[in-house]
Amino acid sequence: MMVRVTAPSPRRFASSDEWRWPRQSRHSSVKLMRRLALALLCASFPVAAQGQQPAADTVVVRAQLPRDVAVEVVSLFNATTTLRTTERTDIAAGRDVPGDVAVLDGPLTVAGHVAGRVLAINSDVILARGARIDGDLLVVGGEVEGSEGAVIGGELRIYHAPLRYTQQGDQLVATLDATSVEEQWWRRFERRGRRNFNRLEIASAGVYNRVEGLPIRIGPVLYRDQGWGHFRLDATAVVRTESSFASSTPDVGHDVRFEARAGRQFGASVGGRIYDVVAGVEDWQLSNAEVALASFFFHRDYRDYYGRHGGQLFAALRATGNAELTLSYSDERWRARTTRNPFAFTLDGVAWRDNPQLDAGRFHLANLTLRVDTRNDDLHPRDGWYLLADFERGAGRIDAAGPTSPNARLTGTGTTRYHRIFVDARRYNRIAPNAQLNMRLVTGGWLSGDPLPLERRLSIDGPGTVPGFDFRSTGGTDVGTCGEVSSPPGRPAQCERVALAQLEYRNDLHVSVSRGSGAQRRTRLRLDGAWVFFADAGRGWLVNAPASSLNVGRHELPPLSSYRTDLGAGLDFDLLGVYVAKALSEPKEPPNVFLRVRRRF
Amino acid sequence: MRVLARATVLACALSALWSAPAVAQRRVQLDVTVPSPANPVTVTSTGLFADPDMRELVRSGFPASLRYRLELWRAGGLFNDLEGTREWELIVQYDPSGQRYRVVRREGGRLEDLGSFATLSTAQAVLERPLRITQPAPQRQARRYYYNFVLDVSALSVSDMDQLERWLRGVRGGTAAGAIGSGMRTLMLRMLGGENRHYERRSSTFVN
Repeated sequence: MMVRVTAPSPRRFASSDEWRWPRQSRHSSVKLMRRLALALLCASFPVAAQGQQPAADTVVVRAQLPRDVAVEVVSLFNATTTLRTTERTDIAAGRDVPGDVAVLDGPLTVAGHVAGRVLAINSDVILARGARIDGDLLVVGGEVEGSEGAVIGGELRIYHAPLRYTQQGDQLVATLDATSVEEQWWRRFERRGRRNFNRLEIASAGVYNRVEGLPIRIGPVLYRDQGWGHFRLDATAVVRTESSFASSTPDVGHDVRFEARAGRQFGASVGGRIYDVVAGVEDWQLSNAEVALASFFFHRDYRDYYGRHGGQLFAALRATGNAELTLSYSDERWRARTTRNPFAFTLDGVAWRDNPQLDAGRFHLANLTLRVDTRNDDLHPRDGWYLLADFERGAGRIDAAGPTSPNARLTGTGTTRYHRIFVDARRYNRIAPNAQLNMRLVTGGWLSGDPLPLERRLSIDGPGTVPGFDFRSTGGTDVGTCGEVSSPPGRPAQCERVALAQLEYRNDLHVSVSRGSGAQRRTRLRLDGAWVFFADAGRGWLVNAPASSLNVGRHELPPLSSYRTDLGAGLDFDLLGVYVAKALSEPKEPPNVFLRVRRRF
Repeated sequence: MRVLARATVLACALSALWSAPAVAQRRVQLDVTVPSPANPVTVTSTGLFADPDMRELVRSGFPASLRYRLELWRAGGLFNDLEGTREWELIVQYDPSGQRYRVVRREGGRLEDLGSFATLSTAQAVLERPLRITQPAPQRQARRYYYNFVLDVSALSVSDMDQLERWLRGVRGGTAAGAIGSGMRTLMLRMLGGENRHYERRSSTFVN
């Protein structure tokens, strides 16, 4: 088989960091014949043709404009009435074009202002510094120079493959290749995240846990792009592997959410949600993946859960992906969930830790939540801030109060009204090219009103907080969970306020294991990670339990000597980290070895 | 016996977690050449598809997303300051019908079709060419700077339904046991976000 082989050399560099590719020759008859010959050959040997890849050092350049892009540009060209030319065109500085511009076989030079869209077919576009295009810039069979010094209000799309066309009067007609299939994935890619879709979604509805097993949501998702924003509707049933199929009364939840969003990077959202789901009490300590894996593999569930059934309205303001302010109002009923016996790889015959019996009742909740994230990388941050602040006003009635330690709260059932705040602030700093010093401060709890219901209480306990202390193991008076004398089954979080400070020093670590020497030397294993040294301090306390030894005045902080403190070190290899932590404030506590998925915070 | 089976599955799952990034990190190589008065900073990434798993996925039609980020840091003082960032993304996807690898570059609102190639090796060679970057550039004189070059590679960026569709069409083929093993590994990696492979390279420190 003979094919023409060419090297993909760059045609030229308009600016130093832009890539350029050879244009396709307009004389396509040779190419057409070659394709025909190739197609005949492939048809003769279909199995071989599918099973073999061309040789690694060959390249067949078949630059081809995707079919529906060709249709699109021809349609746009024919529809353009403000300024349509078939020759070299200059829009000088100071000139204002009130509508769309279409140029065939230019080039087009823009130094002024175009209020609409610019389309260049088989033409280069040169943008002078200060040029302004309010709409999209679409270039087919050409290149763009100077885009960095110009303002393009819409999208900039560049296709280096030229348009093949014929002219009928003043109208263009695209010459389409009937066998073209490129547009299928190409258009899918271009419209990724912006196309309309309806689909059936089957996905996890939360973490693998000891009260539901694996919650799975099943249902349709409708998405409609409106140009100015989108509508989205998720209507899913929530099936729980432990309870939906085991009891006479099917325990099937639901989660229906509607959202209308205006704008893309900046904008606002409004929406509503009705739900019957299981929620975690404190989901700020460990990630969902960590909780799920610990439950599934090691039979340790680090969260407590309760049922939420009700509805919610919300509105949000958004600034890029870095900041969001959300206001929500919910009317919901809380109820306790009992422990089931889901499968675990280890210790499967052992009983799970009880899920504490939390308060049951009806609540009206108003939340104002601010999230600011200026980190340079979500998963591997080296610089920036992360701030999550939530203010909640709750009012309702507790019908069945969950048990607490003696003196942890004076009254249980009855009407209640409270204000609560929660703040998680993190700062990531690079102190040297290979070293980081990161800090985290978590604080929150009761602000005013009645004592907090158990669902809104907090703890400083376990690997996500002060890992030198084992999870739910301290007896007697416990500043981690605010249990005193005795704790109810499952040892729920009972603190009304908490404070936690975490400090972490990280230094890059590169591990390479090689075999042989000289030219025979081969790297067998290479791991890039970091060694980590950390210190933590934190505790919880009560403010509405004067009879308790853990009570601290509403306007006071506990003495620093009463805080849980620890020191630790570990190795973090991106996906998994292994650490050891030793409690300092309780020297008798043995060191704890623990795993974390990705970073500690 | 049951305990042994569980231990085996657990060991396989954990080894999958550990081995995937280890194998990948063995070959992908990032390089950053510090700028000189005549030339801006130059970045290079090589061995992008040397990992057999990644190569197989791309050849099976899964799009590979290569997200690059070049950061300019100013050293000195108590903390190093991030002075500028430039991000771009390259997407490579094999079209089995046309038997071509298409490469697209996206940067901000700019979308550029870089062409289609007959083999992954040629597409890779093009992606691996040195790239000269003019921005971000050091602005202050007589200060110490360095660049940090980051690459995040993900091969499974298509939607779950698309994956399922391809799976059902038997694109990857293989035996039932192989499918279960592969599915288990994919599930674990997806739970941990491990399908996204992360590489970083720091330049030497230079004085502007």
